Amino acid sequence: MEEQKKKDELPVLMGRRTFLDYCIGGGIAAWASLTAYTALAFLWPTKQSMGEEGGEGIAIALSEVPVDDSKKIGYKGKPIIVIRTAEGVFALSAICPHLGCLVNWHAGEKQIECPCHAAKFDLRGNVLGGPAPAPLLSYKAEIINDQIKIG
Amino acid sequence: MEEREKREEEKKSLEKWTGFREILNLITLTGFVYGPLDERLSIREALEKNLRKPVPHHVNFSFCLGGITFFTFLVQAFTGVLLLMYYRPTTAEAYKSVVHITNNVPFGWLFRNIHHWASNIMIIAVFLHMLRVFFYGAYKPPRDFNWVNGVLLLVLTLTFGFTGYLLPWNQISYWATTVGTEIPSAIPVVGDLIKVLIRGGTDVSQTTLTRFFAVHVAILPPVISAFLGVHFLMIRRQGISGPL
Repeated sequence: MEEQKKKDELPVLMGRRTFLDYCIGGGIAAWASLTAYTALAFLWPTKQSMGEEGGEGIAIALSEVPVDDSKKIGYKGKPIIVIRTAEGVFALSAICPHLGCLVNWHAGEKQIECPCHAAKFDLRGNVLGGPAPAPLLSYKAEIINDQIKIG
Repeated sequence: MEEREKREEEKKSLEKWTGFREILNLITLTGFVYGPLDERLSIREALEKNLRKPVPHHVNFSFCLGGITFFTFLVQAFTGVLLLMYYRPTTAEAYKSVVHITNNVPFGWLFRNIHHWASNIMIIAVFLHMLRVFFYGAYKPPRDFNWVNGVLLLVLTLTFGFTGYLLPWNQISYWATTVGTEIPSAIPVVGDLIKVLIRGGTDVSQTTLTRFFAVHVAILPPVISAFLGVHFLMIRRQGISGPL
């Protein structure tokens, strides 16, 4: 009895219905702002979304990579290594699957090597030696006129 | 004068009843719509009348299926308009632009996937809605015209699905359209004419893609909106059907 009385006397900050209404309103507001944010991000022109190419591929000038040399570039937000030999051009992920160091091309041995723990790969990304648990990701690369097309 | 005061009084008592006021203020963008615009158009009154409409006791969640279908339709309209900002309806570029949307445009994967899945959900929901109406006998007069209207809406929804399926211009969409447009050619005499008319040629080609694109984004949306409007007006006028 006493307890009931006490309960009744507690000041009401917010009714239950008001609280629930705020929850619904807040939920709607959160949902609306997330939707607005994603839609705006979708429409906002970025370097990637402005690409006239429309596809996934990129191209670099052939002169940037001499024969028996390599170059590291960004592709889809990740570093890749483009290697040019007498056989042609190859594009591989530059991230070593072991611990994520950036691999280098060794023209003398005709191998890709990781500077961290000496994992070795061939031109197609296959593991030749060292601690790498998986091959390097390989991308399609070809020479078209005076450009190297990747992807 | 007295009458107006009475009305004000009534309004206040309604608002005291719940935290309804807060939500109404949110919806009506407190100040503008509530203030000068409401004085002229009585928006609050209309809103309150609609939001407070009593629902009969036999109404359960299966009665929400039509609303769910309409919700997925709104989702489709929203995501569809967004996809339209990047999509290019040519045989050379359609697939490329879809890949571009998925891989390069921020949240493109999200909107494309929502558009894809909401279309599936819409067709499931529309069938379940139809089943509900059927088993409740809600198609009987006086709601028979609404049933006919609903069947037309079903056809329009399926046409949406069929035309949209071709737009990514990949293998599955190409062959699905080839098979789908081959079906009417089984109709005697006029079959082949219909097939050629749908395809805009003897084969599925650029013309077909242009045609399907036009139907999907320009023709169907206003048409289905009109039928939806009539659908809602009729159910509003006739009221929801009775219990089983």
